[in-house]
Amino acid sequence: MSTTRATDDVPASTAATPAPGAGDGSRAPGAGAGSRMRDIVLRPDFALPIVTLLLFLYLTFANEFFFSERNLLNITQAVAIVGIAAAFATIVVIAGGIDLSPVVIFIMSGLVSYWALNHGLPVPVAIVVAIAAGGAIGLMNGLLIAVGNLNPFIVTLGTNFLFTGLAFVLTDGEALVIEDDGFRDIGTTDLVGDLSIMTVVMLASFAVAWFILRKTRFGIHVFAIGGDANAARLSGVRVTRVKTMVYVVAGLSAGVAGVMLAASSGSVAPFQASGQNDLLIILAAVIIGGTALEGGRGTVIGTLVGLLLLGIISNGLVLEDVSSFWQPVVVGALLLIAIILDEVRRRAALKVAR
Amino acid sequence: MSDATTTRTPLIEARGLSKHYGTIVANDDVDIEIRHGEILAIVGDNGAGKSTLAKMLSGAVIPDAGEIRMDGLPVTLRNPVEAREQGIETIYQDLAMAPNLDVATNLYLGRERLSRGPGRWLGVVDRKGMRAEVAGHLKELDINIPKLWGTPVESLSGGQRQSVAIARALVWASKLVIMDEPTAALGVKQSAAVLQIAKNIRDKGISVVIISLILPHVLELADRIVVMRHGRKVADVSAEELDEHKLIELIVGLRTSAAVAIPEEDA
Repeated sequence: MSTTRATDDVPASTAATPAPGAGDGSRAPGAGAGSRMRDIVLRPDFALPIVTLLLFLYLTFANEFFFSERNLLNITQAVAIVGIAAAFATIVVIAGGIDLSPVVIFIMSGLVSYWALNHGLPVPVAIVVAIAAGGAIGLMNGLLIAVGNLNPFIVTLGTNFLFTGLAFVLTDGEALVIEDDGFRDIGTTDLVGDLSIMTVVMLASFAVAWFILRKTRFGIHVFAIGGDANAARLSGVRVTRVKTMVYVVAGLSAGVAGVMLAASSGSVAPFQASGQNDLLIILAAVIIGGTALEGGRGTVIGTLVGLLLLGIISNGLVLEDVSSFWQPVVVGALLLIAIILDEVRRRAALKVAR
Repeated sequence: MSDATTTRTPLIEARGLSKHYGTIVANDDVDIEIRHGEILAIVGDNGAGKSTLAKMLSGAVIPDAGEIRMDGLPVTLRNPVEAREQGIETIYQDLAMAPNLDVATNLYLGRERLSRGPGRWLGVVDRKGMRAEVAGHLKELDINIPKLWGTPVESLSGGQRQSVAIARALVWASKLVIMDEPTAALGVKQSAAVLQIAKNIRDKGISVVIISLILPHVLELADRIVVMRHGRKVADVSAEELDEHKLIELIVGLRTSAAVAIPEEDA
């Protein structure tokens, strides 16, 4: 498909009339090896894997514990829950939206599982109901944003506050312990070899999100809406429906993540939502992964690599015995670098185009 | 325009089309006819209502009053998709393409062909089939665009993007192509190419409505010209009876339609 290929290596003119002699002369100043190098470094789809790989190699040689099966599994396990939500948050951002509600959906989904199990429902039914609850909150977001034509940032910020407060009200601010062993096993059982259910579900989520974006009509429409919603509408894309569905899918995935979180921790606590560190990680993974906040451009693979980079950083800090207080500092710095790189790349592309 | 086209039931007969935006009257009781296989130009000053009129025919604007008949049967065009289902395609002034998607994807946007296999049920698109068909379509239409896939249309030149928009309309249109200011952003050579394409469409028996302010283009191209002023149709005449001077007088209101012979269509 057509989506993430940067335009900076295409010396095409976007002006109404092409400049005479367009071709080599129309390249940005400093054409040649230098600009080729710069193009590569500035492309997030190249820069990110390189940075991740370098860090991986550094830690492999600098730390005796890093490159062990156990530790690598720990890294994937640690990012599994946010990863499930991040895969589908990517779709939301590509469609030109933003979703601040996944973490609060984790909590609501956990609470629904708790009640369903307490009411004697079998584990599979409890899981389905909990995931559906996530989908319902997503539907509420989607309808307000797509049908109500409201700003997605404000709508999902509102949902976030609303359900965080509701979670505190419903639990009296206490952590609720889930007794059902069958349910808790989901959080601890290995499914394939040494891969836990959680890790497999995360990888499956990325595979599904990739499939949706790359192979289906829905995915094409998501890109089209993110690129130019009005053009998409005039072309016959059902913009309202697709936009709504994007948030429903994101809600469902957050519901799945919420089940995993509740099962692995064996409890549901409303204050998990107020921390919001997970939300930062989800959005950071998407943006560091090269998905443009203005929509229309991005990849699920990028988000996965961004997520692994964040996981490796956090793991490396622990292994190297650096205070965990440094983690948000590093994540924040990475986020800023990613955004600056994207902006530099965009401007360079514009310059070449002119 | 041959004799046959004048005696057939018109492709589109619109009666009493009106559109108000608050107190502003964009179109007031406009009757318009589009015959089979003709190029009809709609001209008028800025704000004369020509764009609103075209949009009511393309489904982008819903009229407050009036009715539209196609081949004698009443139709409702509540959105561009319904218009397209009737064989009406529109080339918008801003081209209305997804800038981040490639040529092939844009040509099929909103009409993607689904895979024949079981993936169809999941909404999997038949990308290979669409790509193969796009190349064939463009060759047939004699439109040459490099890089049909893999390159977003935003990195094509203005003329190339115009070609993509035209190609999209031609691939799907079976009855009518509406062109909104198709040459406004183009150079001389590219404009000439677009005008030639409009003639080719007509010669295939598909009607063309062209909205333009560039009067030499209009006079060269159109079989018939409708002049709009202050939301009303003030003239509806055969292009042969007009020259640029008369046309300007009609547009600015120095000449009334009464001064121009009523075309023979009513006879």
